[in-house]
Amino acid sequence: MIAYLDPGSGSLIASALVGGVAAVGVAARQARSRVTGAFGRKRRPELEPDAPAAPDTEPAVEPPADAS
Amino acid sequence: MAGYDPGSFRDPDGAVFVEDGAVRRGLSEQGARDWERLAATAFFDRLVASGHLVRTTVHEGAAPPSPRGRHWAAVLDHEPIPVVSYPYEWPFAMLREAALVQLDVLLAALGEDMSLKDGTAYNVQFVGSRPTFVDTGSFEPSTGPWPGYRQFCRTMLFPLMIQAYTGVPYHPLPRGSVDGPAPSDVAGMFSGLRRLRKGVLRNVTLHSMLERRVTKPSEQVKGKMRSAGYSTELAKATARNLRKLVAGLEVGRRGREGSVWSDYRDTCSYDDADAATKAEFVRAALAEGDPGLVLDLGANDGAYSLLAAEHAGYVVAVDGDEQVVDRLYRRLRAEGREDVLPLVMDLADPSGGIGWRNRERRAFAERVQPDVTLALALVHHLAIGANVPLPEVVGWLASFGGRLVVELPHPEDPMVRRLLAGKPPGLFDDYQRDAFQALLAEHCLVHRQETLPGGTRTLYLAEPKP
Repeated sequence: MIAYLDPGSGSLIASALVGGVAAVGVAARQARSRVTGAFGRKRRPELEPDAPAAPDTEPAVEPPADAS
Repeated sequence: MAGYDPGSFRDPDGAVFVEDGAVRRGLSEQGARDWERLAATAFFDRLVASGHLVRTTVHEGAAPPSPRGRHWAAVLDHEPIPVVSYPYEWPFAMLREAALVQLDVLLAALGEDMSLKDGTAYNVQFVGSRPTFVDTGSFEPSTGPWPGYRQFCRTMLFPLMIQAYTGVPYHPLPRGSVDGPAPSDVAGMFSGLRRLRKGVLRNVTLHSMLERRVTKPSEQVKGKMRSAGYSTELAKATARNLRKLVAGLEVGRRGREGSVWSDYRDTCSYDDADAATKAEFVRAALAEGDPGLVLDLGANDGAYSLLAAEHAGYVVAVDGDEQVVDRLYRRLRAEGREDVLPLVMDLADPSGGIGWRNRERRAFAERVQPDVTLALALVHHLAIGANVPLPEVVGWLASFGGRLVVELPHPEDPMVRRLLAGKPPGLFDDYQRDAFQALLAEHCLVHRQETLPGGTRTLYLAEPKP
């Protein structure tokens, strides 16, 4: 189901931060998989030519680049 | 697509139309599935019973094709709202109540694994002082974070924070842009120490930063948040924290200083005999004809609106002073009144149509068809204070269509002299009692007139000519 309203990706993450303490768990899990994701990219750079150029400018809760 | 509400076109799964005076909503197949799920919840009946959700039933009848030319799978009947109003016409406390209802409805929905697909302030309407959520088409199964958060920020939270934290009334912002101020706009207003005010860091500063930096499509971000464990519980935590933030927002003393009219009743020039005669004239005028809707223009503290409510089904009380209307709203809300709707509007600059083709949110005059219009202690403010030519003032009052109860302060009235003192001499020589009477007679049949005992004000009861 696709929503008629684009909620805005930045706003989705911001709304999670507003959740406060509860958001920390999700943020931590995402940060952890982002770290593993970063290592993964280093080992197989040729498989991800479209990987974001500057992932470190993205916020801590930004989901891992290779999650899907 | 005649009959469709011009503000109800964004969601392809439903649209509101007016038919035989009834307010109905056509639903797509997806919309009909969401409605069935909503109607089966416990919170639906609970919210309708408490007045927080518009009373809604299934309509057994056809609907005109949707604004996109498709046929609907189902049609709903909504209880009509007496007079539609918009956030830029609400005082601070009213927008705050609307925001709280929005969040309470969201929390109730999340409690049964449903959510709201948007979060705009236009989904809340007022019946007197009672806010009610009117967009049943907004309910959908919960699938993660609240998609309406950004709209909620732009149309409700940011305006409230701006007024609470800076003291500047928020109204020009939503009136100037139907979507409301963006996070980056508001971030500029909350620089320096204001960033430390409650809720600013996350809802404004970080929100604006994230909006700039996160460029992945939101469906992708949503999917990843879900796979990282974002649950309905987290959406509930967000809604609960927003509720706590909104409930704590208040306009400080600094933002409440310097109102022109807030002490009007204490300092105005009526003596007791004038006040009693005026009240009696108004009361007698309203007692005739059993009016359904009374429009009180320049209502000030609402004294005559409350008097009108004794004789009318519904009263719309309009005044340009936000602080005075805010005070009236709080009083009406505390008393649980559903028969008086207080609105903020500069009557020399009433709300026009905004949004798509200037029709999405309609002009004020299109939303109010009063049986009686009260214009008490108003004419001199428009004619002298705002330089509106007297023929324009009378024509405008008559254009509302209902009977008129108008008060004309004579040129020698102390309040008129005070207004004239700030203007070049001779500029308002045409502001005369006989000139006003001639204009009134041009547009209306004057049924009755009475000069107050003080001798400086005359009241008229007039009926616009067909």
